[in-house]
Amino acid sequence: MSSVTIQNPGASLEAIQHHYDVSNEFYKLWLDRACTYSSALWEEGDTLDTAQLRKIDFHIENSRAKGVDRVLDIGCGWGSTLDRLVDKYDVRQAIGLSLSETQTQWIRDRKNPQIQVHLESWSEHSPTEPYDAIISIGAFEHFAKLHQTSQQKIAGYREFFQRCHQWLNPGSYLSLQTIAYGNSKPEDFSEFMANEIFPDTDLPRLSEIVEACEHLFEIVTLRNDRACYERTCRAWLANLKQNREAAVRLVGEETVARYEKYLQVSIVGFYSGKLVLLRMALRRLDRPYRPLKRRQG
Amino acid sequence: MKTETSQTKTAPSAAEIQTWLVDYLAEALEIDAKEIDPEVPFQDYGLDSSAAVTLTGDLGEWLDRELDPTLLVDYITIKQLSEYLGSTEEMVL
Repeated sequence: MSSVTIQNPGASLEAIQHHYDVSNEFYKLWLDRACTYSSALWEEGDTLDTAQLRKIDFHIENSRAKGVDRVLDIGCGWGSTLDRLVDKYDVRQAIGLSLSETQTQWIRDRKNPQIQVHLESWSEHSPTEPYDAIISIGAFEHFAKLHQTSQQKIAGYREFFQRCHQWLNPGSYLSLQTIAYGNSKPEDFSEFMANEIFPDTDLPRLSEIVEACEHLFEIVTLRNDRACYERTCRAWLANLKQNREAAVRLVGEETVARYEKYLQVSIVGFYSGKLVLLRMALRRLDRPYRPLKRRQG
Repeated sequence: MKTETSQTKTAPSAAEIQTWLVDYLAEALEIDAKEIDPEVPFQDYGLDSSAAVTLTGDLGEWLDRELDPTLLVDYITIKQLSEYLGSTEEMVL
């Protein structure tokens, strides 16, 4: 079940750590209680906490992970999905991948014997046994570098889908959530986002994802929940403003101002539709496409 | 509710907001204010979402009002934005 390690085609370890290793305490000031750092799934009457839980449950159901043996979470953040899988969905073993040292340490410190976490990229991952479901929330955004051509991006994404295909048992699902370019092109985005917030990273377009997974996975459901991400960013910004003094004490004025601006720019992006939030259920194609052999004569 | 000690300040009119925006954009682009057409979309002056957020923040500070960062998505020219803000004094959040 192992795979050859290839060079990570996406954002580097340094780039990921630039964003995610600011400080756990800082993120705890403005994220939900479980520190879920991706768009929530909002319904009437939700708080940020309940909407984040709804999102996690959505992906667990989307990936058909309930009661299965082994589930992989690619880009597991602070482990809120891993916890939910073993605590509420009777999953025997939940395995998380993260490129953030503070995140992996945070999960290891909780010492749950059913949860494993690896400080590695999907491209370095070599499981010894197959998985029954894969979830990836808010990681795909980092799988391509800025200034790659669309074809280069698709090749990198396809490598990711090939790995997932290889690791999954027949008939299993991958539940994917990612930000993507919507009514926009990469050049519409400011240097602020590229340099200050997500260095070394380029977002996917839906068409690139579709092309990359063709003949490996079939798309079962696809949602664009950009309004959910706008609302999530508004909730985060409100929390950060409410806890501003504590945040400045932790990370300094400049970092707090940078995050406030990043959240505001994201709100504008999702509100205007320049950015979209894709949620996809992908079913493994157990017999990937092979060309028809025509008989001669 | 204003206290007796607070200063009563009249909110800027649409025309004053327009002048502020024209001067702001001219300074940011390092061009003469006369070259700014209030009816040309911000986007055509090269204002990306990051610059738009900064502008909205600076404008809110000047107006002493909390402005939503998405304002420039719906009010796409100086004229539209200043007319909207000149006609509303409530907090726009």
